[in-house]
Amino acid sequence: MRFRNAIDSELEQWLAEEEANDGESSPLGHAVSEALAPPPDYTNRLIVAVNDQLSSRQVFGLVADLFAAGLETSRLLLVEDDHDTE
Amino acid sequence: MLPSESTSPDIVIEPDSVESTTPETPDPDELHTLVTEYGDAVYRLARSVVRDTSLAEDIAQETMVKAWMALPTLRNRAALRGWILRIAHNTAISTMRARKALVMDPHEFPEPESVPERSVESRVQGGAVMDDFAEALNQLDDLSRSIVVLREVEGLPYDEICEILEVPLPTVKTRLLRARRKLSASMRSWE
Repeated sequence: MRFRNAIDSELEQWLAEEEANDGESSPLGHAVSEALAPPPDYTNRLIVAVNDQLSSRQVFGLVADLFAAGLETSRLLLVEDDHDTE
Repeated sequence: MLPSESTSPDIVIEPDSVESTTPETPDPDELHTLVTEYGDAVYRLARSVVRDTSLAEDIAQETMVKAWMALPTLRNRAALRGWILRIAHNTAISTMRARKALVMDPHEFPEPESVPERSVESRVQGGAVMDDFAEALNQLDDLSRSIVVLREVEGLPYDEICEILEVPLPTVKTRLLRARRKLSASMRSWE
């Protein structure tokens, strides 16, 4: 329990300090930002990749629609043929 | 695919932030805004989870597509940053789970990112301190790293971090305290 109390008091102190410094950018934040920074040409590549992915989705959707339309046409023709033979 | 149908299990949309009416078609201009404004934050959060640069880029791409498709369903635009970061985090976690679920040949596993070997001269010139810091950041667990990114880089309030990562407040505070302690120790060599 003594360990827990020590952690709690440290937390309290740290939170109080943090509230006092709220809004200020920390050196730690800068360092983390730099360590995990994206590559220099990342934004342009991301825009191109996202556009490509959306375009391929559109093409896939169009092909799926065409296939569904063809299937429906065939089904209707077969039903019509059945009615004619009766 | 219709926007209303694009919601995969990865996207968690809060009921109170979603329009009850039929959503509109996504606006193409908003895609550019999403990428330029939130692209870096999404990448950093994804990288904090997956610890791989190319995989983080793939996750960022997937996040942008999901977010843009689901954007017309988001009612509270003030919550956009938290919302998109939550999609990014969920996508990163799903990607990691899917990768772990795959039975792979050990030779096909990607090489873990490591700090490249540097000469004594270059270490002295200053680049090494950043490498040491990156190594210390890599030593943290995934959750702590994500908390550090969201709090220290993005400056998000605690309650938003809890929502994005789906963890209780005491966990966020304790992990952040421990992570700061470890990272600050590695930064002491900068002085």
